[in-house]
Amino acid sequence: MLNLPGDDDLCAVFLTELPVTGAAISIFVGTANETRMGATDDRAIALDEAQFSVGEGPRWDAMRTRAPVIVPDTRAAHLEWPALGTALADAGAAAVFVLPLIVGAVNIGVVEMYHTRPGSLSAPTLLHAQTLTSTTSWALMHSILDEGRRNPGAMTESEPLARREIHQATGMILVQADVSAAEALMLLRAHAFAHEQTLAEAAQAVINRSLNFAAEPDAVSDSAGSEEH
Amino acid sequence: MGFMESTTRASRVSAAFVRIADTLVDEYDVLDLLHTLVDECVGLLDATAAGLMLAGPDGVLQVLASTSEESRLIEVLQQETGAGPCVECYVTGVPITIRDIAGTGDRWPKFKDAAATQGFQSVHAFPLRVRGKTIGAMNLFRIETGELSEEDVAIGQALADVSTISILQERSIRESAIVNDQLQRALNSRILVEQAKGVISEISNVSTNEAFERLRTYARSHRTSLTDTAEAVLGRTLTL
Repeated sequence: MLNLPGDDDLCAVFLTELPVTGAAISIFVGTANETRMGATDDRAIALDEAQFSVGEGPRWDAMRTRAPVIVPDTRAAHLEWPALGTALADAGAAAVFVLPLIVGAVNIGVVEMYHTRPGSLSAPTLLHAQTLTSTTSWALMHSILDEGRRNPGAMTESEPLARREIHQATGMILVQADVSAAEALMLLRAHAFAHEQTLAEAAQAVINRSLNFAAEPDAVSDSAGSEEH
Repeated sequence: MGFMESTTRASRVSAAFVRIADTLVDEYDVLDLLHTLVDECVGLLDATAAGLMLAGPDGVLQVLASTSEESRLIEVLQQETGAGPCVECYVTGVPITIRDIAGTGDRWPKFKDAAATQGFQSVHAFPLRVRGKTIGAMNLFRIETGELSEEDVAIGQALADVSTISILQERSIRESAIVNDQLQRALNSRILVEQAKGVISEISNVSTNEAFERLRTYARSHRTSLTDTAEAVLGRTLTL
């Protein structure tokens, strides 16, 4: 089970702070490949599922473009997403706002919000939404980086995102393993946990070129050792 | 101070402000501005190295710009993300002067050790403030003990203030929203730049320091921002 800080609570903030009826959060990184969801209500979940099943819609565009996607009137959604058609309107959303959850080049997931009345978000409201999304992204990233550790409490880092070497190693690994930034970070995390290292230590090994994820990450990891410390 | 010397100083100070203002074109990049700020401070003031940190959404300070990308200077700064004069300056919102780092006892042991390794003996931390809110701090390190002159402190703080106001310049939008948005964009840019350094370092088999120089050189010669250059590298549409 993913042990993230109450996804439903994370969603609730969007409802409290923004003029929206409901919100759902989907995450694409972590232990499981499947999308884990937190949501304020069933309609928010239904909206996500409608897009998930057809493979198109604002959530996918927000992921791909890494930018907010605003649908002020879902009755016109079929013009942009023919396969999705009227599914959003049918599910009861008049307006949909999707913001990507990102940290640097790492795509964590999306926040999907809706309103039962049509309309866009004002510029200040959209900025506020982006700030909330950013705070949520960092909170999720901290949880994801620490989640799945075999010895809870051991070797944890309170400030992994402040360590430059972790981001540099992510860039190196995404080339070595030909994966996304998110996957590269997960590879680094898995190695650190398996070898009871901190993320910063594993990252330093990558930068020193004593650890490489080019092929067969497990075999490479075993031979790389941990002579750094 | 003789007449010639003071005029030279005055013209150098005003030139520094002009260079900072020059970075403030439309759609300017906050990272570029902050790099200019730390470079100007070290060029102008009695300091050996400088580093600037801003607070992230998690409340932790992040190194946004420094006069050297060498990992050794960064390490000193990163030690400060936990505890050190920069954090104290950020938390209290007032300048902190440590005239003898070695004499700070066990106040910030990790910072003290890291600074000693680099030969830094004194440090001055300037708060980055706007409308009563502190968003981060800038450190000036010196290889001698002692304090910065009053004039250097005044110039350093003025440069920091101008940069802070520039980062957070007002538009017709709600203040707190634009402040937070600008800050988070800058922090996100810094992470993109670090990731792009990794990509370049791996593809071209160079140090992360050299990777940064390539990013910066490309951005300058193509009149584009560090952030956009980093994004192109990460998107693999640009190889440096």
